[in-house]
Amino acid sequence: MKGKTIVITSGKGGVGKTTTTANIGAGLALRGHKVVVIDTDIGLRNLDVVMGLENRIVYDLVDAIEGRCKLHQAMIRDKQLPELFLIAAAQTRDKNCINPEQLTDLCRRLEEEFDYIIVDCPAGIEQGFRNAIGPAQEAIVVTTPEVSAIRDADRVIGLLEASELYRPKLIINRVRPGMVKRGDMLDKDDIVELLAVDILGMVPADDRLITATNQGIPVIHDKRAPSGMAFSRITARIDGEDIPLMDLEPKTGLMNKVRLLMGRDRSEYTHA
Amino acid sequence: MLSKLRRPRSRTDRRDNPDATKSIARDRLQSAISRDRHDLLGPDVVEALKRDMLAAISRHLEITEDFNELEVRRLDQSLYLVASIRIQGIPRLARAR
Repeated sequence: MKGKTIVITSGKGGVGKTTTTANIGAGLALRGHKVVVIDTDIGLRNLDVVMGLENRIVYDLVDAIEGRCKLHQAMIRDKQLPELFLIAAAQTRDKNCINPEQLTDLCRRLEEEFDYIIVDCPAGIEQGFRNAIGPAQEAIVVTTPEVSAIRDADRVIGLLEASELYRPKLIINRVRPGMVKRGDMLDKDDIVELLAVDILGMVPADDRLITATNQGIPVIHDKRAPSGMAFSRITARIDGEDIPLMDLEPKTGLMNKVRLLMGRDRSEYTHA
Repeated sequence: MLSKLRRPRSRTDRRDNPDATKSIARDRLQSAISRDRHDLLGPDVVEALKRDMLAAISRHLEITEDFNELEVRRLDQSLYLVASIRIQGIPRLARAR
């Protein structure tokens, strides 16, 4: 078996890299693949809490790299999906304690056994970023429709291409269709034109994502969550399915119209 | 004025709203991004590139002293060096026979 390593990156922090990693990992496992997700944010680990696995960490990424444990001992099995594993970041070390070659070596070993290795990259463009992109064969850039996130995404796309990760794919997170429709939020076409990359999908801003994360469950398990449906479609595209991209539309039910008229656009939508 | 009267603006669809903020965001991003891309080249690289290109071009064409524009743009997933310079004259030897 020869797996594929994909890095999830963004430049700017807080745009949803970790949530995206958790959901893509879970989504690929739901599709029947063997998947490992790796948190490379050494010193600021979070993928474990987002996946609800924070109490199960015995060994971490740095332990595995420095040989204090076997690679398998650092892999934490997911609660819902038996074919999904997490390798957590070390919390008491820093980004300089590993290098891109070590992480690449580790991922090459995992590729022998797993279909997908999803690497959650830390914010920024320093050592942690260089570590995370080292092993990747493909890159996914997460942004939100805000000027700061888009500008940082452009910087990161440039750096990825300089490292021979050509044609990174874009996920636009926390889209609010009501604002897009009013002309108060950059839309997919604006962002794709500015960044000149292919788009992998859009994820609507969604209260259900927050309540799912509160419980340590990737929102992709919530069949009624618009963000979860968006992640399912994104995962299918990663897995090679040709699913057309649809615009997120504000819901047009009577109650939502009333809300809009009352000036309370709570970013309701149908799914993409 | 009349067109405004004829087209009442709905609250839910204000695509033509001149006050909509997304076009401001787009214009600001466009200039910030193009500046970032240019800065990435580094001023010394840009100067050396300019010098060599001017020398090479002036062996074949009569040109102005400097480029009108010289910048890095991304188009279709690739970076392009886009330069333009005004030609003052084409020497007889350079013309097609």
